Amino acid sequence: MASPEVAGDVVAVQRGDRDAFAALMARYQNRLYRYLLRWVRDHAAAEDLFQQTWMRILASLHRYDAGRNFDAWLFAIARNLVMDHLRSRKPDSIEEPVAEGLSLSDSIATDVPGALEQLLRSERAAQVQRALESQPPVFREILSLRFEEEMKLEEIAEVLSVPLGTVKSRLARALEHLRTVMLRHKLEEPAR
Amino acid sequence: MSEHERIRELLPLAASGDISPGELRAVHEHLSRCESCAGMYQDYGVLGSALRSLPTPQPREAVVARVLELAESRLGRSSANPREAFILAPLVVAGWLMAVATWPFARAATVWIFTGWRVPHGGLGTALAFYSILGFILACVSALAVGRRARIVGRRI
Repeated sequence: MASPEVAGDVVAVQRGDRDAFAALMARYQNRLYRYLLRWVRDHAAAEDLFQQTWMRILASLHRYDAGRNFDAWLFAIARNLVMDHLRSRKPDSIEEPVAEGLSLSDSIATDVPGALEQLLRSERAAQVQRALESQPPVFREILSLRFEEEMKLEEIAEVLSVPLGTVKSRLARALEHLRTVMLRHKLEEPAR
Repeated sequence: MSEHERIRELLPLAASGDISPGELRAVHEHLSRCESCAGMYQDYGVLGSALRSLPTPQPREAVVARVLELAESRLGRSSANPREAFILAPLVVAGWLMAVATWPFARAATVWIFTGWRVPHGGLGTALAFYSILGFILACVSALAVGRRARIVGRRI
Protein backbone atom coordinates (compact mmCIF):
# COMPACT_ATOMS: atom_id res chain seq x y z
CA MET A 1 0.00 0.00 0.00
CA ALA A 2 1.25 3.49 -0.85
CA SER A 3 2.20 5.98 1.88
CA PRO A 4 -0.41 8.74 2.50
CA GLU A 5 1.77 11.34 0.74
CA VAL A 6 2.27 9.15 -2.31
CA ALA A 7 -1.40 8.12 -2.37
CA GLY A 8 -2.40 11.81 -2.23
CA ASP A 9 -0.08 12.67 -5.10
CA VAL A 10 -1.35 9.74 -7.15
CA VAL A 11 -4.99 10.79 -6.73
CA ALA A 12 -4.08 14.37 -7.60
CA VAL A 13 -2.22 13.26 -10.75
CA GLN A 14 -5.19 11.13 -11.73
CA ARG A 15 -7.20 14.37 -11.64
CA GLY A 16 -4.65 16.06 -13.87
CA ASP A 17 -2.63 17.95 -11.24
CA ARG A 18 0.77 18.77 -12.77
CA ASP A 19 2.36 19.86 -9.47
CA ALA A 20 1.45 16.51 -7.94
CA PHE A 21 3.16 14.75 -10.84
CA ALA A 22 6.29 16.87 -10.30
CA ALA A 23 6.20 15.94 -6.60
CA LEU A 24 5.77 12.25 -7.39
CA MET A 25 8.60 12.39 -9.85
CA ALA A 26 10.89 14.22 -7.43
CA ARG A 27 10.22 11.50 -4.88
CA TYR A 28 11.11 8.61 -7.19
CA GLN A 29 13.33 9.95 -9.95
CA ASN A 30 16.70 9.09 -8.40
CA ARG A 31 15.63 5.65 -7.25
CA LEU A 32 14.09 4.84 -10.60
CA TYR A 33 17.11 6.08 -12.51
CA ARG A 34 19.46 4.08 -10.28
CA TYR A 35 17.41 0.92 -10.81
CA LEU A 36 17.43 1.40 -14.59
CA LEU A 37 21.13 2.14 -14.63
CA ARG A 38 21.87 -1.00 -12.61
CA TRP A 39 20.14 -2.96 -15.36
CA VAL A 40 21.49 -1.37 -18.52
CA ARG A 41 24.78 0.15 -17.27
CA ASP A 42 24.52 2.83 -19.91
CA HIS A 43 23.41 6.38 -19.14
CA ALA A 44 21.87 7.03 -22.55
CA ALA A 45 19.78 3.85 -22.43
CA ALA A 46 18.85 4.49 -18.80
CA GLU A 47 17.70 8.01 -19.64
CA ASP A 48 15.61 6.73 -22.51
CA LEU A 49 14.01 4.09 -20.29
CA PHE A 50 13.56 6.70 -17.56
CA GLN A 51 11.48 8.83 -19.89
CA GLN A 52 9.53 5.84 -21.20
CA THR A 53 8.79 4.66 -17.67
CA TRP A 54 7.31 7.99 -16.59
CA MET A 55 5.19 8.20 -19.70
CA ARG A 56 3.97 4.65 -19.14
CA ILE A 57 3.20 5.49 -15.50
CA LEU A 58 1.22 8.52 -16.60
CA ALA A 59 -0.71 6.47 -19.13
CA SER A 60 -1.43 3.65 -16.64
CA LEU A 61 -2.06 5.68 -13.50
CA HIS A 62 -5.83 5.58 -13.92
CA ARG A 63 -5.59 1.79 -13.60
CA TYR A 64 -3.45 1.91 -10.45
CA ASP A 65 -5.14 0.21 -7.49
CA ALA A 66 -4.58 2.31 -4.35
CA GLY A 67 -4.43 -0.87 -2.25
CA ARG A 68 -1.29 -1.94 -4.06
CA ASN A 69 2.24 -1.03 -3.10
CA PHE A 70 3.11 1.95 -5.29
CA ASP A 71 6.87 1.32 -5.22
CA ALA A 72 6.39 -2.25 -6.44
CA TRP A 73 3.94 -1.08 -9.11
CA LEU A 74 6.34 1.60 -10.35
CA PHE A 75 9.39 -0.66 -10.42
CA ALA A 76 7.40 -3.42 -12.13
CA ILE A 77 6.54 -1.01 -14.93
CA ALA A 78 10.18 -0.01 -15.23
CA ARG A 79 11.21 -3.66 -15.24
CA ASN A 80 8.82 -4.53 -18.06
CA LEU A 81 10.31 -1.78 -20.18
CA VAL A 82 13.83 -2.94 -19.33
CA MET A 83 12.91 -6.47 -20.37
CA ASP A 84 11.57 -5.25 -23.71
CA HIS A 85 14.72 -3.19 -24.20
CA LEU A 86 17.08 -6.06 -23.37
CA ARG A 87 15.16 -8.63 -25.38
CA SER A 88 15.45 -6.46 -28.43
CA ARG A 89 19.22 -6.29 -27.99
CA LYS A 90 20.53 -9.40 -26.30
CA PRO A 91 17.87 -11.92 -25.24
CA ASP A 92 20.20 -14.19 -23.22
CA SER A 93 21.38 -11.30 -21.02
CA ILE A 94 18.18 -11.56 -18.94
CA GLU A 95 18.63 -15.16 -17.88
CA GLU A 96 19.80 -16.06 -14.41
CA PRO A 97 23.31 -17.52 -14.62
CA VAL A 98 24.08 -21.04 -13.49
CA ALA A 99 26.21 -21.30 -10.35
CA GLU A 100 29.84 -20.83 -11.15
CA GLY A 101 32.99 -20.04 -9.26
CA LEU A 102 31.34 -20.33 -5.87
CA SER A 103 33.85 -22.86 -4.61
CA LEU A 104 36.36 -20.04 -4.22
CA SER A 105 33.96 -18.42 -1.82
CA ASP A 106 34.05 -21.44 0.46
CA SER A 107 37.80 -21.89 0.46
CA ILE A 108 38.54 -18.27 1.20
CA ALA A 109 35.93 -18.13 3.88
CA THR A 110 37.57 -21.04 5.64
CA ASP A 111 41.06 -19.64 5.43
CA VAL A 112 40.51 -15.97 6.01
CA PRO A 113 37.60 -15.11 8.27
CA GLY A 114 36.25 -11.65 7.61
CA ALA A 115 38.46 -11.21 4.55
CA LEU A 116 36.14 -8.68 3.01
CA GLU A 117 36.26 -6.50 6.09
CA GLN A 118 39.96 -5.91 5.46
CA LEU A 119 39.47 -5.53 1.74
CA LEU A 120 36.67 -3.01 2.01
CA ARG A 121 38.19 -0.89 4.74
CA SER A 122 39.60 1.34 2.02
CA GLU A 123 38.03 2.18 -1.31
CA ARG A 124 34.86 0.46 -0.21
CA ALA A 125 32.42 2.23 -2.49
CA ALA A 126 34.56 1.98 -5.61
CA GLN A 127 35.32 -1.71 -5.03
CA VAL A 128 31.72 -2.64 -4.44
CA GLN A 129 30.55 -0.52 -7.34
CA ARG A 130 32.94 -2.29 -9.71
CA ALA A 131 32.03 -5.71 -8.37
CA LEU A 132 28.32 -4.95 -8.60
CA GLU A 133 28.65 -3.82 -12.18
CA SER A 134 30.40 -7.06 -13.09
CA GLN A 135 27.46 -9.11 -11.79
CA PRO A 136 24.91 -10.71 -14.12
CA PRO A 137 21.90 -8.40 -14.64
CA VAL A 138 19.45 -10.40 -12.53
CA PHE A 139 21.89 -10.35 -9.60
CA ARG A 140 22.50 -6.61 -10.01
CA GLU A 141 18.78 -6.11 -9.99
CA ILE A 142 18.01 -8.05 -6.85
CA LEU A 143 20.95 -6.58 -4.95
CA SER A 144 19.85 -3.10 -5.94
CA LEU A 145 16.23 -3.69 -4.95
CA ARG A 146 17.15 -5.24 -1.60
CA PHE A 147 19.98 -3.00 -0.46
CA GLU A 148 19.68 0.25 -2.39
CA GLU A 149 15.89 0.42 -2.57
CA GLU A 150 15.55 -1.26 0.83
CA MET A 151 12.62 -3.31 -0.44
CA LYS A 152 11.27 -6.24 1.53
CA LEU A 153 11.47 -9.65 -0.10
CA GLU A 154 7.69 -9.67 -0.61
CA GLU A 155 7.88 -6.35 -2.47
CA ILE A 156 10.72 -7.65 -4.63
CA ALA A 157 8.63 -10.73 -5.45
CA GLU A 158 5.86 -8.38 -6.59
CA VAL A 159 8.21 -6.38 -8.81
CA LEU A 160 9.75 -9.51 -10.32
CA SER A 161 6.46 -11.44 -10.48
CA VAL A 162 8.13 -14.51 -9.02
CA PRO A 163 7.48 -16.58 -5.85
CA LEU A 164 9.05 -15.51 -2.56
CA GLY A 165 11.23 -18.64 -2.54
CA THR A 166 12.76 -17.61 -5.86
CA VAL A 167 13.57 -14.17 -4.47
CA LYS A 168 15.28 -15.71 -1.44
CA SER A 169 17.39 -18.13 -3.43
CA ARG A 170 18.28 -15.49 -6.01
CA LEU A 171 19.31 -12.99 -3.34
CA ALA A 172 21.44 -15.58 -1.56
CA ARG A 173 23.14 -16.55 -4.81
CA ALA A 174 23.68 -12.93 -5.76
CA LEU A 175 25.39 -12.21 -2.44
CA GLU A 176 27.53 -15.33 -2.73
CA HIS A 177 28.49 -14.36 -6.26
CA LEU A 178 29.31 -10.79 -5.31
CA ARG A 179 31.45 -11.94 -2.41
CA THR A 180 33.26 -14.39 -4.66
CA VAL A 181 34.01 -11.73 -7.25
CA MET A 182 35.33 -9.35 -4.64
CA LEU A 183 37.56 -11.94 -3.05
CA ARG A 184 38.83 -12.99 -6.46
CA HIS A 185 39.81 -9.39 -7.15
CA LYS A 186 41.57 -9.29 -3.82
CA LEU A 187 43.55 -12.42 -4.67
CA GLU A 188 44.52 -11.06 -8.07
CA GLU A 189 45.67 -7.71 -6.74
CA PRO A 190 49.16 -8.70 -5.46
CA ALA A 191 49.94 -10.39 -8.79
CA ARG A 192 49.48 -7.11 -10.73
CA MET B 1 23.04 -32.08 4.67
CA SER B 2 25.04 -31.35 7.81
CA GLU B 3 24.13 -28.55 10.20
CA HIS B 4 27.25 -26.66 9.06
CA GLU B 5 26.13 -26.78 5.41
CA ARG B 6 22.56 -25.84 6.28
CA ILE B 7 23.68 -22.83 8.29
CA ARG B 8 26.14 -21.81 5.58
CA GLU B 9 23.31 -21.68 3.09
CA LEU B 10 21.41 -19.38 5.41
CA LEU B 11 24.28 -16.95 5.95
CA PRO B 12 23.65 -14.49 3.07
CA LEU B 13 20.00 -14.05 4.02
CA ALA B 14 20.82 -14.06 7.72
CA ALA B 15 23.20 -11.14 7.21
CA SER B 16 20.59 -9.21 5.23
CA GLY B 17 17.97 -9.84 7.92
CA ASP B 18 15.79 -11.99 5.71
CA ILE B 19 15.38 -15.16 7.77
CA SER B 20 12.98 -16.06 10.57
CA PRO B 21 13.87 -15.41 14.24
CA GLY B 22 14.18 -19.17 14.81
CA GLU B 23 16.61 -19.58 11.95
CA LEU B 24 18.55 -16.53 13.11
CA ARG B 25 18.94 -18.04 16.59
CA ALA B 26 20.26 -21.26 15.04
CA VAL B 27 22.71 -19.25 12.92
CA HIS B 28 24.03 -17.30 15.90
CA GLU B 29 24.47 -20.47 17.94
CA HIS B 30 26.46 -22.03 15.10
CA LEU B 31 28.56 -18.89 14.57
CA SER B 32 29.68 -18.96 18.19
CA ARG B 33 31.53 -22.21 17.53
CA CYS B 34 32.40 -21.99 13.80
CA GLU B 35 35.05 -19.46 12.88
CA SER B 36 34.78 -19.87 9.09
CA CYS B 37 31.03 -19.33 9.08
CA ALA B 38 31.45 -16.36 11.41
CA GLY B 39 33.91 -14.82 8.94
CA MET B 40 31.56 -15.43 6.06
CA TYR B 41 28.64 -13.95 7.97
CA GLN B 42 30.74 -10.90 8.68
CA ASP B 43 31.58 -10.60 4.98
CA TYR B 44 27.93 -10.63 3.97
CA GLY B 45 27.16 -8.01 6.57
CA VAL B 46 29.96 -5.81 5.24
CA LEU B 47 28.73 -6.31 1.68
CA GLY B 48 25.19 -5.36 2.63
CA SER B 49 26.21 -2.14 4.31
CA ALA B 50 28.58 -1.32 1.44
CA LEU B 51 25.76 -1.81 -1.07
CA ARG B 52 23.46 0.39 1.00
CA SER B 53 25.98 3.22 1.02
CA LEU B 54 26.76 3.26 -2.71
CA PRO B 55 26.33 6.71 -4.25
CA THR B 56 23.01 7.19 -5.99
CA PRO B 57 23.37 8.11 -9.66
CA GLN B 58 21.02 10.89 -10.69
CA PRO B 59 19.36 11.61 -14.02
CA ARG B 60 20.49 14.74 -15.82
CA GLU B 61 18.40 17.83 -15.16
CA ALA B 62 17.63 18.13 -18.87
CA VAL B 63 16.14 14.65 -18.89
CA VAL B 64 13.99 15.37 -15.86
CA ALA B 65 12.88 18.65 -17.42
CA ARG B 66 11.98 16.89 -20.66
CA VAL B 67 9.86 14.30 -18.82
CA LEU B 68 8.10 17.05 -16.86
CA GLU B 69 7.46 18.95 -20.07
CA LEU B 70 5.93 15.89 -21.75
CA ALA B 71 3.90 15.08 -18.67
CA GLU B 72 2.59 18.63 -18.36
CA SER B 73 1.58 18.62 -21.98
CA ARG B 74 -0.24 15.35 -21.52
CA LEU B 75 -1.85 16.31 -18.23
CA GLY B 76 -2.78 19.67 -19.71
CA ARG B 77 -4.78 17.99 -22.41
CA SER B 78 -6.54 15.52 -20.16
CA SER B 79 -7.26 18.12 -17.48
CA ALA B 80 -8.70 20.40 -20.17
CA ASN B 81 -11.66 18.02 -20.51
CA PRO B 82 -13.89 19.76 -17.93
CA ARG B 83 -13.12 23.10 -19.57
CA GLU B 84 -13.99 21.66 -22.95
CA ALA B 85 -17.56 21.28 -21.72
CA PHE B 86 -17.75 25.02 -21.00
CA ILE B 87 -16.45 25.81 -24.47
CA LEU B 88 -18.46 23.21 -26.36
CA ALA B 89 -21.83 23.88 -24.68
CA PRO B 90 -22.13 27.47 -25.98
CA LEU B 91 -21.01 26.20 -29.38
CA VAL B 92 -23.86 23.70 -29.36
CA VAL B 93 -26.34 26.44 -28.48
CA ALA B 94 -24.87 28.73 -31.16
CA GLY B 95 -25.14 25.90 -33.70
CA TRP B 96 -28.75 25.38 -32.78
CA LEU B 97 -29.56 29.11 -33.05
CA MET B 98 -27.88 29.21 -36.44
CA ALA B 99 -30.05 26.30 -37.53
CA VAL B 100 -33.18 28.14 -36.39
CA ALA B 101 -32.01 31.32 -38.11
CA THR B 102 -31.61 29.50 -41.39
CA TRP B 103 -35.09 28.07 -41.12
CA PRO B 104 -36.77 30.46 -43.67
CA PHE B 105 -34.12 29.54 -46.27
CA ALA B 106 -34.44 25.84 -45.57
CA ARG B 107 -38.20 26.12 -45.74
CA ALA B 108 -38.03 27.97 -49.06
CA ALA B 109 -35.58 25.44 -50.49
CA THR B 110 -37.57 22.39 -49.42
CA VAL B 111 -41.12 23.61 -49.86
CA TRP B 112 -41.45 21.62 -53.07
CA ILE B 113 -40.99 18.41 -51.07
CA PHE B 114 -44.06 19.15 -49.03
CA THR B 115 -46.15 20.50 -51.86
CA GLY B 116 -44.97 18.54 -54.89
CA TRP B 117 -44.76 15.14 -53.18
CA ARG B 118 -47.71 15.86 -50.90
CA VAL B 119 -45.91 14.64 -47.78
CA PRO B 120 -48.26 15.05 -44.79
CA HIS B 121 -47.00 17.52 -42.21
CA GLY B 122 -48.38 19.28 -39.20
CA GLY B 123 -47.89 22.82 -40.34
CA LEU B 124 -45.16 25.37 -39.89
CA GLY B 125 -44.68 24.82 -36.14
CA THR B 126 -43.99 21.08 -36.46
CA ALA B 127 -41.59 21.57 -39.36
CA LEU B 128 -39.70 24.29 -37.42
CA ALA B 129 -39.51 22.07 -34.33
CA PHE B 130 -38.23 19.12 -36.40
CA TYR B 131 -35.68 21.33 -38.12
CA SER B 132 -34.37 22.88 -34.91
CA ILE B 133 -34.12 19.49 -33.15
CA LEU B 134 -32.20 18.12 -36.11
CA GLY B 135 -29.87 21.14 -35.92
CA PHE B 136 -29.36 20.60 -32.18
CA ILE B 137 -28.55 16.91 -32.62
CA LEU B 138 -26.03 17.65 -35.37
CA ALA B 139 -24.38 20.32 -33.18
CA CYS B 140 -24.10 17.85 -30.29
CA VAL B 141 -22.60 15.13 -32.48
CA SER B 142 -20.05 17.61 -33.85
CA ALA B 143 -19.11 18.78 -30.35
CA LEU B 144 -18.63 15.18 -29.15
CA ALA B 145 -16.48 14.39 -32.19
CA VAL B 146 -14.28 17.42 -31.52
CA GLY B 147 -13.90 16.47 -27.85
CA ARG B 148 -13.02 12.86 -28.70
CA ARG B 149 -10.42 13.94 -31.22
CA ALA B 150 -8.77 16.22 -28.65
CA ARG B 151 -8.53 13.32 -26.18
CA ILE B 152 -7.05 10.97 -28.79
CA VAL B 153 -4.41 13.54 -29.75
CA GLY B 154 -3.58 14.00 -26.04
CA ARG B 155 -3.15 10.27 -25.53
CA ARG B 156 -0.65 9.97 -28.41
CA ILE B 157 1.98 12.13 -26.68
